[in-house]
Amino acid sequence: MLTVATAGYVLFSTDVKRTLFVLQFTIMGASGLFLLLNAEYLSVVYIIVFIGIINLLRYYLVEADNEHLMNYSVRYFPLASFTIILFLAVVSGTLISSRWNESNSFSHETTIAGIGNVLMNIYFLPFEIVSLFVFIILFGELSNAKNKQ
Amino acid sequence: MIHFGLNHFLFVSCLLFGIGLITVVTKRNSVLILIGVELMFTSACLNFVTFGKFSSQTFEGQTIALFTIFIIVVQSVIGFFIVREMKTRKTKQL
Repeated sequence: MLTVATAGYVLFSTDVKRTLFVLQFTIMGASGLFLLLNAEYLSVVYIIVFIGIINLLRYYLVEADNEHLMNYSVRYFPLASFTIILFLAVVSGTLISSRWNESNSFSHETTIAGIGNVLMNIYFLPFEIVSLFVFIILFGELSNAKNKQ
Repeated sequence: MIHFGLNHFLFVSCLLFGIGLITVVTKRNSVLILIGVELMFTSACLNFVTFGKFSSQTFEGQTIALFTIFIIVVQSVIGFFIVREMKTRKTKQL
């Protein structure tokens, strides 16, 4: 409820700073949902990454580029909303009518150990590729900052 | 105690995706568009974790959600620098 209500605020807000503040509650709600799904590690990472890094970065962006970013105009709102609500109705109908094969077995492994096992065994190569990707971006931004100086 | 089933989580994620999509399509503000993309990624993460919990009870769903978070971070940083670069060029033109 908290997640969806605060996310809905993003749609109707006209103040970017206030939206960024309210978005923190969306993130907290989403991490609460992760907790309900027994994903404690993911929940903590989610809060640290989004509130600690990304939202701070956006606050900085809004503060730095105040004039450029204060463009509140909204385009095609009724048409887009109608189309997307139609799409959501179809998806929700499918969700309700589907019968999912739910498993009730319980894993005794802790979350962090389980994720570590999966990362180091099955998804080792994608993990390395992602870390390389992040490394390249770090160097790109550093060189960008250096060029500006 | 209320039992939360698979459909509850999928419905929330569906709503989040819709809100994110409407934000991306209708807003002109670059930060709000990035927020919309983030909401859509959040709904994807929620779907991965939900299906990981309710279908297989393995940690693959959570692992892929972790990869998704990495991708959100990367796209946010790139978006941040693109917007800043646009602003710098606009200032230079003026």
